[in-house]
Amino acid sequence: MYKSNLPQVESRMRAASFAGLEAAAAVYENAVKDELRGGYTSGDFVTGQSVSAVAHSEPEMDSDGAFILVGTSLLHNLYWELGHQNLFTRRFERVEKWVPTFYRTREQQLAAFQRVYLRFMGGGAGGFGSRAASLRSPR
Amino acid sequence: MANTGSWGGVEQLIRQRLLTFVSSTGGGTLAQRLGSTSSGSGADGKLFLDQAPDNVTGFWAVLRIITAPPNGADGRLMIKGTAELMIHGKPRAVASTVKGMATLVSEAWLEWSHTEVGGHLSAMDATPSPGLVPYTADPADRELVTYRMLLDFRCTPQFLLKYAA
Repeated sequence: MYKSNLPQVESRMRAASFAGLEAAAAVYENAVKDELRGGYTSGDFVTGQSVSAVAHSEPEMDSDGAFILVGTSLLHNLYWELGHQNLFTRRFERVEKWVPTFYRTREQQLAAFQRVYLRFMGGGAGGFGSRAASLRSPR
Repeated sequence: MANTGSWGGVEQLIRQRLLTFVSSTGGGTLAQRLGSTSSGSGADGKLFLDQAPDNVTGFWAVLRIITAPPNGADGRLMIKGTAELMIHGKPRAVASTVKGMATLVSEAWLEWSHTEVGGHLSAMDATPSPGLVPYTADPADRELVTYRMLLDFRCTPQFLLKYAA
């Protein structure tokens, strides 16, 4: 009797997408933390609060596909990213960390997603698929 | 007249569109709503490119292109870019006026396209992101009102298209 494996394949692909998104988010999250480590100005007021407040959501699905959110609950980070009238310096201050880092790491994010996705789908650690998308590929 | 012969030209085209657009229901252009400076780059409307002067007052806006992958698409000739528009006002009582300007920008960006010999620029989505910035706590000055929008566009600029086979 024929039995379709489509539900299992779909389930596996969804799980692979979620795992890939987690990997891509980790790339961006680490890069943002690295950027925030030195603070926004002189570095004299760095407490680590901004770095420790970088977080990501669970992967989700909507009508456009799977996605994951990386962000922070700290409004200070938003103010520095988008700019604000600073009460201490008395002028408009803006130091972007998040958006430039997102665009700068897009290739690494994509590579991480592809690498994990392929492994999840059975590409295998030593197979072509696992190496083709890796930035560390010796090819 | 600005054209797509350079990135500066692309920015000017977007700037001119936003400053001079008139809503079908009237209400004044963005240039009229923002006001202007007596001289300098804000003389035709206080929509500055990249950075505003430190001494700017009243309403003002800042436009810049935040991403435009240099490798392009469509045979590497078309660029899918995003411009960022920040509309500012002070004090907080002018928030509704700032939101009105953001609405006007959404209208101006709807289905706009610029075509020229050897170049093209089309507006895509206008996304409030996050819209009105929630300045609710120190050290931000809570009297500053900021509305942020992301303006997606597609551009086949002269400076790339001239290399088309």
